[in-house]
Amino acid sequence: MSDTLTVILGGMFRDLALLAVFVWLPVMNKERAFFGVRVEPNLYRGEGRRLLHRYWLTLVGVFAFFEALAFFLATRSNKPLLSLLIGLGATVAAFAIYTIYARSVHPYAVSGVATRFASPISARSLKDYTHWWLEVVIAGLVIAALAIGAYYYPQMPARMPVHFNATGAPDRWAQKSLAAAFLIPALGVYMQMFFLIVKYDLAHARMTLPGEHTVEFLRGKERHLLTNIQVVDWVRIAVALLFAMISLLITSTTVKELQRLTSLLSLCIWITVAVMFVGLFYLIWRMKRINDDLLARFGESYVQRPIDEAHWRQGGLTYYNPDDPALMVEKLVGFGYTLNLAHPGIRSRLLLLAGVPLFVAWALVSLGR
Amino acid sequence: MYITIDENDVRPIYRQIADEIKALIACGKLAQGEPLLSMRELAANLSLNLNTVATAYRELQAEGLVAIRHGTGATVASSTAHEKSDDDLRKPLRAALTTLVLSGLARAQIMSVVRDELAELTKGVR
Repeated sequence: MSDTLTVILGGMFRDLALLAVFVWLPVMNKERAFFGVRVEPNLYRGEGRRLLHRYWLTLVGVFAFFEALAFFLATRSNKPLLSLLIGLGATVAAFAIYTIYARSVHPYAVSGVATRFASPISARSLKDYTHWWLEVVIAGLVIAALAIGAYYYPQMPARMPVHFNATGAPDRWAQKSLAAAFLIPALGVYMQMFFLIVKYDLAHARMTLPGEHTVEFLRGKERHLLTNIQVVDWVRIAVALLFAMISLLITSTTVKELQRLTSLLSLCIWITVAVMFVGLFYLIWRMKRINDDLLARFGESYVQRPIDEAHWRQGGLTYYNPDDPALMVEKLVGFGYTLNLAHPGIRSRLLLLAGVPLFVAWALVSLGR
Repeated sequence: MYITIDENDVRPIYRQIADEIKALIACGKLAQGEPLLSMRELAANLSLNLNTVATAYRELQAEGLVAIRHGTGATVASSTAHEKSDDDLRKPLRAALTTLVLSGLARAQIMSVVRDELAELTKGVR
């Protein structure tokens, strides 16, 4: 398959997945969060359907335009970065369309009628969700990535790889330096710290319960939270394993005695990525099952007091509530949890999040040749 | 284990929180030394002002039921409140009984209600 076709098909597959997400977003919680707004069932089934069809049509039209543009540009300049920019453009456009339609639904918002609410009273802590064997394995992999670089550093040649193509062959090189040799292990340490903070925040996420069927609902929500934390742990172990293997791949391409490992390592990396995504989809599916079960049994899977409902923005995709002391809240639309953008701790979390791409971009630009 | 608040309840929210926690301690569901949800998290869960929750926790602390330590949060300090005079203990009981009498319940019915509530409250107590 030619590179141009690979870029076009890869981009199309990504954009189709994105389109599917935006098609589903307004209706995933039906009238409880139609474009993130609670509406009357009659409106949802009547005027709401007509609005939804217009939204879908606009969305498909916009995506068709971006795909045509991607195809046109790819036949003239085969650059993966261009495909990435097209994907980014399609995402921004879809987000804007979703927000515009959400605004048109907003006047029809109705408030919840419940007046009784509950909360768990026993404290949750990170320790409750920590398996020490898992922490030992992750620490071992992180240390292994650092140790591999340190052990083989004296044997590395003056030029060393910092980026690889899909087959595991180096396609970007840098002068030998401590920064180039320890880029991946350092990024690995950074990401583990980041995920630990996410895990800590999740353990303290907001959990509002209904006044009725509270015990069963709490049980469901605790399983939901546990599954979400398992998502984080799954990513942590996969990332630790990936980074240890990439460190070894960098070393194997430069150190003679390890060169026979290169193909095997490339294969293992791809297998790990595939297994990571399969595991992620499975855990997300389990979270959906738990919420579907709560919805079927109690008529709702997400509880919040009416005074919080008005603080969802962009059609229920972002939450901004300065009066809410919670940093992590369950998503109104989508799976898992999101951040309260008005919380004082938001800056440090967003800075940490932005740190990963910034770190990679800096490394590629400053080290790559 | 959970506590419930009701917006339609005549009692202020902080009192509801304190009463709910006291009931859990009284029936043994919250044991001595058990860590309670932090004030911040409880306020977030119930969409309340932090001061409302702090007032409830401080009241429980004043009664010796909860210990609040900076950094470690709140824990159940004791399963019995500070000693109160006989009159202080009888006052709320008298108020509750008055409500029951005024609601037109017969003496036997009132006794039955009291027995049921007491049984419910003490069934977890060892």
